[in-house]
Amino acid sequence: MNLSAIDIAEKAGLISPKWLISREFGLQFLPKLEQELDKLSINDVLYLNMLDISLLEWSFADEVFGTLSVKLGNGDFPSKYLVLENLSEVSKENLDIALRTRPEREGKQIRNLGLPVRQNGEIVFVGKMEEHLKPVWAYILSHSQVTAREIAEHLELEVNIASTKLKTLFDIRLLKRLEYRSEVGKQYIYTQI
Amino acid sequence: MVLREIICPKLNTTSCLDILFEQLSNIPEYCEQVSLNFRNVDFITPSGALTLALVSQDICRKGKIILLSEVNTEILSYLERIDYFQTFPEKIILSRHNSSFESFWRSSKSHNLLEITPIPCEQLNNAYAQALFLPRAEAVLMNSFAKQANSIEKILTMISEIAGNIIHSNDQGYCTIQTYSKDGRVRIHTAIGDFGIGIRKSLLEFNDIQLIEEADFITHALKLGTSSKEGARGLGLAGVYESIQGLSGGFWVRSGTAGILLQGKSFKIFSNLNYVPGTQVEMSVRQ
Repeated sequence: MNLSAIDIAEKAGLISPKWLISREFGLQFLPKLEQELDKLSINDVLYLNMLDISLLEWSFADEVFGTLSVKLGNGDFPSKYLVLENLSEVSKENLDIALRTRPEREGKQIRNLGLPVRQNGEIVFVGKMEEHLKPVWAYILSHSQVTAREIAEHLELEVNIASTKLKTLFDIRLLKRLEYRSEVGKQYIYTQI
Repeated sequence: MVLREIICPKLNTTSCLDILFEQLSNIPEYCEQVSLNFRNVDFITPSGALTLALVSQDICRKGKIILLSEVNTEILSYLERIDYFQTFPEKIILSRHNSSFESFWRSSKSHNLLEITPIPCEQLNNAYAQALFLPRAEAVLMNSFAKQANSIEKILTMISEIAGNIIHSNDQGYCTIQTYSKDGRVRIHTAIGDFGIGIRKSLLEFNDIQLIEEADFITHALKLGTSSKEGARGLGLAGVYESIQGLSGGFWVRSGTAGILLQGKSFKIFSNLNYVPGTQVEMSVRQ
């Protein structure tokens, strides 16, 4: 599903919908965005188009996307995905500042937190990601689907370790996961969202 | 009418607030009118305009009237352009010497400055004020920095974040912007500030931190944000610190008796300044 951030801002009653500023307006925007996420079917992706947004400032980004990233990481909106697209360079930097520093403000340990952003057709991760996950994420970006065994072979890891890394990326809603049965039992295939 | 005169310092330096506030502190309660003598004022920068706004607000709140005297015509005209008289309606009078100025009054909304803009400290009003003045600030910046969309967005982000921080101050603040052009190069000066509780109190309200020096509180706010106890709040100044390093210019933040100047990667601390309430920020960005 494709939605414009400006449309959501209008629904939220922001007086200047192109200006995504301040925590107060973030608090008005977030429930409207969550309503849209709720409407998604299982495994659907909400592409939030940020085109024509004059400014996404980091307090707003923190209030909306920081909060939502934490919720997604905690398992809210199960099997539903959010991708931001067409962010300006500065808005992307602001989002990055908000998401990278959010774990410090949560007051509890959060190792990975962030959102996928689509720029010029390519997906990039914005936020905080542990170093050891980055090669896995990089591999996935160049493959439409992967299994733990494939990652294990590519990165020379134990299969169970590769499986844990993939699950971590799935848990923060960067990957979709499909379950299938093989002769060795339950298996998962991870795909790009 | 009991009147006390203050000789206004030059309103184009960072220290003008210290000087003016100190003089203001010496005005007795029974004084009904404060005369601001402008004989030394020949230029007003955004920090000067902010100083004037904060000091005028303080005088007006004490129920006193401000009498402006010995103001030259250019300065009077500039005061009109920055909406100084509109910001404090019926609280400012001109001395007999300047009274003919009325006939020259002109409209504000200049293309190279943002007038003195009040920023409320109540959360929702603060957001509404920002939503109204940021598009105007963007227009001012676009006029001079048109080819540098990224820089404009960064500056607007910083202005918005600093203006947003005023909600922690418990007092109304002001913002003002001016662009200057010389030899084809453009500088943007911004000043935002308030006479609220200041960074130290704001930090102590929300954090269990063990700091003593005023400058340490400012450093903490710049490097780590202003609060952690409330979860999501307090990213403002820390984000500014990160952003300013990518721009060509300087950043001055002052609170209580200390100030910090950032220029590129340099970080200079000034301690034992004259006490001034609240927090004041100045930002200068070059093309």
